[in-house]
Amino acid sequence: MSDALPFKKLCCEIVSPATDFVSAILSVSEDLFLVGDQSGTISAISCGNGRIAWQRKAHAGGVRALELVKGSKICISGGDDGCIVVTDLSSGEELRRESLRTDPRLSDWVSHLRWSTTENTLAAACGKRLFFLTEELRPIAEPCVHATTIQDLAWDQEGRRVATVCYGGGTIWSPADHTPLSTWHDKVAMLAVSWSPNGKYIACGCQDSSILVWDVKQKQNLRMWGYPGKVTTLAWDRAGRYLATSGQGDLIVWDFSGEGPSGKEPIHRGIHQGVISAIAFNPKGTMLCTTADDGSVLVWRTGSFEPCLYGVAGAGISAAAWSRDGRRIFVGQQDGGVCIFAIDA
Amino acid sequence: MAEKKIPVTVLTGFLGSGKTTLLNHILTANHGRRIAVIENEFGEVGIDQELVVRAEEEIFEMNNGCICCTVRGDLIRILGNLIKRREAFDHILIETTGMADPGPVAQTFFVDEEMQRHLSLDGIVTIVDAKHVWEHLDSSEEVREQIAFADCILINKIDLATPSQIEELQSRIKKMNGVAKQYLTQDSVIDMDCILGLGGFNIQRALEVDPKFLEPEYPFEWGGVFEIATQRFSIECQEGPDPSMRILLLPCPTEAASELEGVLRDAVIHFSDDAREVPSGGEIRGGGEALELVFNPNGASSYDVLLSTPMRYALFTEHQPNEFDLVIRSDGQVCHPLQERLFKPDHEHDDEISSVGLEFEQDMDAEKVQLWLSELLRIKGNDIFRMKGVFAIAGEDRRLALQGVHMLLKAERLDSWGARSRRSTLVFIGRNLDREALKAGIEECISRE
Repeated sequence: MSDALPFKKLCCEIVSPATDFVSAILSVSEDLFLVGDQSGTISAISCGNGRIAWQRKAHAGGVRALELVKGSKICISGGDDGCIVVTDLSSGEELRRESLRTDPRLSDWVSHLRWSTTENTLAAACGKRLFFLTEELRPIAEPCVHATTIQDLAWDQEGRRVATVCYGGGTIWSPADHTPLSTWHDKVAMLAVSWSPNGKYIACGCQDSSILVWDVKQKQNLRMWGYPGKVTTLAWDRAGRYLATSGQGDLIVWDFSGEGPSGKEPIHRGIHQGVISAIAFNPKGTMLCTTADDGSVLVWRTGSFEPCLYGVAGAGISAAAWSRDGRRIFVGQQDGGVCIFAIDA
Repeated sequence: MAEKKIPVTVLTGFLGSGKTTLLNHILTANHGRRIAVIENEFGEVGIDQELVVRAEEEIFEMNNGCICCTVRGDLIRILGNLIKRREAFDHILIETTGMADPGPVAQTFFVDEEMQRHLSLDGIVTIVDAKHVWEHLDSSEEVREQIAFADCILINKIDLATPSQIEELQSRIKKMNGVAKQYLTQDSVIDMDCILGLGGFNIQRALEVDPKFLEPEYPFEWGGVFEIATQRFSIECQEGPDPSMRILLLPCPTEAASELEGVLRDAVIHFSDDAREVPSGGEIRGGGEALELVFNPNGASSYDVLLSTPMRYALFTEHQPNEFDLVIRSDGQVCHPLQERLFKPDHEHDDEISSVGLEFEQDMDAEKVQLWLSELLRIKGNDIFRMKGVFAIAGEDRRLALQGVHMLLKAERLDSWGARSRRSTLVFIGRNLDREALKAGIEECISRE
């Protein structure tokens, strides 16, 4: 990253590191954020001074997913060991543990966890199976079995329906009846999924250097090709107008206003030298942060998508999250380091 | 960013060939490497270790522009996870199922950019059962492709097969895949350095396996020049492995420095003519005619040759003369050749899978080579399992490597030629390969500058 770039450098503080490659990072409150790493350790870190509040080895193998149960004082993690662990947020004490592995011959891991406050339900993916669980990790229904491994899942904005993506298609489920509400098929491996805030679209990043946007009502596919690599990260802005996606080091933003993105050129920004590892809008939706595996952090203004801030972490970045107040960016590194970048208001 | 790539070894082999035993050796041997394992085949007794990941095969079809290919989704997922734990191991081993098609596995390393950036396919190791592989060699496409894709083949359980069975298997496998190194093993015991750290698909290894791999092929295996002082001599043979053998006798111009090379062209042309059968005790007049010597089924055979003038003659034989104890006797004396040479024989096209090696001393035109190869793979990609070429490019100091799996092609600039002599070498392994057509194709790419 050259100093000649016309935007402001972010202030970076390297805080007490996690113990290994950071695989997940999650903002909890004004005071706390969580870091999960490849050693299976969860670290609770103070937003203010970067001190470790508590640290606990929750999983054998790496932490794959971290989630909060909103309004409660617990966090839920999933790991390479196929287990879901419920941990007390204030003490770091383990409260509950369930294994989702049923076939001991397979090393299925818990890849994704998403909580719905509306349904008071946790959606958990482990191998080919989608589970709906209560806060106490009790199953609400039989697991929904997919033909191939679940690559990602997302609740709709209301928290009523879950979309899962696999190789060959996607499915919309409701936790009430564990039969699919609808499905779409395409011979492509979808790697990431995000539901638009207005509920109209489900955007999927694909292995074949493309994205697929499923129009939920019209039941139609929109495909956009031409990415420089597989698409593993995507995010909608809060208003649901912009879909930010990445392939290799390029940021590509689609404008869904008016007639939608068909026939419109997307905004294309290639500044990161490394591969983009995370994309996240700030809570207000006014800024977008992208991080890459070369350690670069960029903040873009929503709308123009011109870069306004940049920073460099101590090592390649593997995970990132905004603070609740939008004044900081927490970044996890491949070497286990954690950085806090401060955004001046 | 320029971190060292993690080597990945792929272990394939039919059920019962000794794959799991080999895997156990690899995991317990004291080789100083920390190995992470992905197992697609799992018996009742799983290997319990933190770095062992067990998963089912998942095949993804992919559209890459106009090229369709299949990759292994499970490997992309698991390898992607292992990359994050790269400090914990030095090497990754993938144990595929007995029925696995190695194509999608190899293609995974070509297609997914994350795999390409962090991993290198160190080698495909195939293990076959010396005795039972015969039951599958003709019927199972999986077994044939596992052999064709291999960089290294262990012929295992040699204690259960006879020496002649093993020899026949070795020669059959070599015809299919001339690039793979073969090892004979019992109870899957092998030095780890033979299977780990192979350094990828590589032409140098083909030459170690067969120094003649890149040479042109000839319809004969042997040629020798004899000084014949009389107008009459005899060819005498004993019983051999075949009931008959094709030969050709050609007069040699005596002044030529290397007589055999001088008549080689004529020899190739005439050797392929319709051959006249000559029974034992029969008479041959003069040279220049392809002959099929029919041997006496019980005992020695002898053929009289009548010449118009005593001079130097070159004799070319379909098989090596010592297989039949062939001697030339003139005036009761055995004549020894003044010069002799072994030739690389034609493939006996009984195997639809074969390997072809080609070598050119001229510099190539980079653009033409890439165009020709991508077109070739687009059309014939289904039948071409693996290809690699290292090219000398006109006006370019560095070596250009092109590597392909089925329809996928990857180019890479290597180091400069340095003290090595500039030459282009190519190897193909595939089904129904036409050596002459491949040769003609690449000849079109020779630089005209």
